[in-house]
Amino acid sequence: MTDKKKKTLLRNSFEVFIRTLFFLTMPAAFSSGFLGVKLIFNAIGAGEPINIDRIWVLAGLLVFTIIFGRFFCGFVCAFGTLGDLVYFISGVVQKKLFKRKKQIAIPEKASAVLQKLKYIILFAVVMLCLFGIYSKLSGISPWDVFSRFMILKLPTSDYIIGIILFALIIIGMAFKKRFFCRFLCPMGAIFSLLPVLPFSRIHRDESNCIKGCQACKMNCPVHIKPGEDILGEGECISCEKCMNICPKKNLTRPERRIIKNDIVLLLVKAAIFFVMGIFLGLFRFI
Amino acid sequence: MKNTGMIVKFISVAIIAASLAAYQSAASVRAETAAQIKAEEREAEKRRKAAQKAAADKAAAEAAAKYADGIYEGVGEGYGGDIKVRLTVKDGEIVTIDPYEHSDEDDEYFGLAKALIGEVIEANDTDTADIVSGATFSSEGLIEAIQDAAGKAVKK
Repeated sequence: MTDKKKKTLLRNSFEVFIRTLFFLTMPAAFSSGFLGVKLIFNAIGAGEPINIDRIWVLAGLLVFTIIFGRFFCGFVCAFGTLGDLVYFISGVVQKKLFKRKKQIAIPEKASAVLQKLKYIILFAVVMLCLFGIYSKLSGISPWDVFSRFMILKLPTSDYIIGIILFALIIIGMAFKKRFFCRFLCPMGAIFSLLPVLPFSRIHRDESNCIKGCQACKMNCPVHIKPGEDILGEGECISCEKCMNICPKKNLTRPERRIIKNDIVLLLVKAAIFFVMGIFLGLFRFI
Repeated sequence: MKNTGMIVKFISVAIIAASLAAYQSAASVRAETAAQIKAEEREAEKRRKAAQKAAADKAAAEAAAKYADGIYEGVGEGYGGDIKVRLTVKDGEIVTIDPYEHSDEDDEYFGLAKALIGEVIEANDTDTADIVSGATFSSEGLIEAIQDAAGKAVKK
């Protein structure tokens, strides 16, 4: 085994460890965060003051993302992990059972359009909250269904629409990397509109690139080439796949000047989020 | 130029945060005012109800009272001559009894007899007044005068 392969294996192990840890201990982080958005617009719709005590999770996620990029999406969010897991299983099944060389996936051209859907969903949820309709619609959120699965309870028949949506999302996850995160997640829509400090953004040394090389873009779960388009950068979920695949090691973040080892950096961010998550009450075992 | 997008996003976030903060302070003030008005309304309602209840109680007491409001005079025969009293009824109750004329009474005896005035006011009844021992004639005269005045006060 070469050194590079060894390092990749080590990094992958740590990634699996971090994501499993967050998946098991803080599975409701994304829905708690988005609940804050719903509460704000519910309050505005009703003309009441916002209940500050209940939006700390949202505030924590937003501040964390401005500082560290969408590390939350890449490593913490249980729904993101679920998507990667479903896609991985789907790939194994397609290759082993159906002897396909290449996994069937939604083409990139359609995806570029589909990824605007999440803004429509965000807008729709905000509007429904503003007009006080959202609280009357129960059982439509696929997140609620997932939350019930996570606490090992079967969703009741009231959740029928949510169950159908959840099933459709699972199917979608099987045919596209980060299907939900990229196309549907309203929290992701907010994250993608947030500024990320240059300190945590991935920078690409274009002058050093091999002509015509698309390795970073091809490996990116959300199909972006760092530094290519500014608007697309909001989509970056900070997974660092591009940094690890680049044959010329052209991609880096300024934060790497402080902590050189990418695995250590990953663990440091995970630890910071973990501590913040405990303080925000996201840790489900307390 | 590389950071233009980030600056635009930062400004947008700042605007949204400022708008939310402005909304929050306005909404808090409004909620506080609404709560204050509600509390004041509740207080006023409470006061109104209490006043209503007091008026009703007073009316009931008056209806049940034995004496009609007013000032009445009465005369009784004491040890040396007439004893005259002025009796005041307010809200159906005897509130004061003023023996304004007792010039023919021995001051010492009459002073003892005056103790029964307190009893009459306390009981709001002239029938239960006892003769003060040692001042029998003055007491009898005073009681007679009080009963005379009270007799005029009794509702017909």
